[in-house]
Amino acid sequence: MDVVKKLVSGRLRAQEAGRHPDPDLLAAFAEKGLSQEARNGLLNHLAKCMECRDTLYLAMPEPDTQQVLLPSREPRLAMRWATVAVSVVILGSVLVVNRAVFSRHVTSSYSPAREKSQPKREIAELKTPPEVDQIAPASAKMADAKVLPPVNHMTAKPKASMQFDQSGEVRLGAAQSASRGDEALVTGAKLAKKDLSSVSWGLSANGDVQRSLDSGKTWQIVPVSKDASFRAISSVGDDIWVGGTAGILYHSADSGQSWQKTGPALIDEIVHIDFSDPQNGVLSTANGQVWNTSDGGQNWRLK
Amino acid sequence: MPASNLRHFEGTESNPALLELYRKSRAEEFGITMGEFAAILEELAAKNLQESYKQKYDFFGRLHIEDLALARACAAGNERAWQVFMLRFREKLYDAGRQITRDDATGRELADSVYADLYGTQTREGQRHSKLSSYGGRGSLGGWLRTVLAQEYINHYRKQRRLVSLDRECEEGAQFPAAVAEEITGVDKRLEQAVDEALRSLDPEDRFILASYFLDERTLAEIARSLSVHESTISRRVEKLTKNVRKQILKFLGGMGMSRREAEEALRADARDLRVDIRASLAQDSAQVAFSDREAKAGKGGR
Repeated sequence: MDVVKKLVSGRLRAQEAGRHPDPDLLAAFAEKGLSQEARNGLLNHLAKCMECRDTLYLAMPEPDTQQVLLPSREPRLAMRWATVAVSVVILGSVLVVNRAVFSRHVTSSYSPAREKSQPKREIAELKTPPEVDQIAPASAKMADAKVLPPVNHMTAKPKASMQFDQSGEVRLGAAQSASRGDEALVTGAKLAKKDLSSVSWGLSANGDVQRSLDSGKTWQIVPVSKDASFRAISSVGDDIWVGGTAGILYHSADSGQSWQKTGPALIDEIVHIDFSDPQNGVLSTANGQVWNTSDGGQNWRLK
Repeated sequence: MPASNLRHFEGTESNPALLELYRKSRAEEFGITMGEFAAILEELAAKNLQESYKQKYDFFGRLHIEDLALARACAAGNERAWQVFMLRFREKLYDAGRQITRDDATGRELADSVYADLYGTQTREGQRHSKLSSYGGRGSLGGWLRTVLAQEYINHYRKQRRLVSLDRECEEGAQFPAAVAEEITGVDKRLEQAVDEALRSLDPEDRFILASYFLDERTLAEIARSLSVHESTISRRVEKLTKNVRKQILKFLGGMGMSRREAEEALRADARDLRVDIRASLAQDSAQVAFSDREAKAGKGGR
């Protein structure tokens, strides 16, 4: 490495850096707010200009006010696990459907003991969730739903956590339920209660709250507030918290069907929210303040 | 000073998308009219080469519009805007100053000096010129302020360093050194060319990583934070890049007619001989010239 280091350092030093970027562009780069094209142009300059690199590194906020980032391998690992989980869910669904069909077939064809088999049929119907019959209509409804272009992001992880992706968007993988993640239905804007845990949440680069019902293939904007631009999101089960500009904080206790403005009186932008369970959470603001709650956001204490 | 010294842009008052941005920015609160607001956005769109209607509104949608309105209103001298600015950013400025300088007194001094520039102690064509008028809303105002502080610190530090070293040399009775002759390294031109080619074949982010790691000796954690990835990702990438660059250099040398053995030998010998001109790189011209997307897109510029 030493030989290459010396050669590369020498040549990088010898390169002409060109005009310095203005602070606006450097700040946008640090906050992942540039388009790919502008980002590459800036990186090109940064690779040649020690002064701008110094500026960039000096201007970075202290580590404890930044989001905790996971190794990039994790999304890939999570993707693999998600694939396995989805396969298991699909297999399970097929087995349940087959079992239900088999039960009906048996009960209808066993005519000599028809009266006796009637309770069995009822049991079979009880064991077969009604959603099984809704799989086909659901896919048609999904096709009608507004579909956003696909974005690169992490897939659902066992515990909800925040990730940045290439598009500068933030994604949260909600706990992947052991039940039927693929059967999450969109009926108008409402969701079946039992499917809520399979929903993934994210923020668009514009600060809109987004929800995915199909493991992140498509995303829908969830209207929360016209006035706010959100920067941080956290979800635990049905409870979602989103925070953003001017210290605005919203909470939904029903997986995004309704939202209430909440939180401490803040002026600074909320840059991070993390709830470990529906009661205990912490948020931090752009000026480094850290607030925590232990009663689901009813009261907040400054750390 | 009233905000009405801002440029006015005609014929945009009925544009619903612009009206929505205007409302969201709270510009009216700070005395910026719709026409003035539109003129600010048009100026930024022109600077950043957003020409079509769609490009423009996508670009406007990504701006930190509230911060932009606040900064421009402050630059125009709106008192209410200054009150909000002080409330939101005064402490942040001092905190960032302390963080950058690692010293309380120096940090305050730095923040005060930047604050004077923000307020605008210099006049241009009879009008007070505030540095806030150069804020373009692409990054957050907080991030922009930190970057401005970092730039100011670097400029200040360089000036001080030069003065101190001259003073010390005078005190110690040292003779001024003769001008440093052009570096004589005896580096094979073909090797330089091969290293340049190898570096050119990398993408800008890879070159930035190499420059940060090899040239600036930044830690993996620092580089990781600047790119919002985990440091293990950077560690793996540095290792991979080093191997790749070496391979590419040997390949390019081979393409220039060198045998594998000759290429390996040239690489070893020249890396030993290579001297780096630290003095020249420290004496970079620190004049700040705006760097627009035009240069970013073209990947060039000229200081």
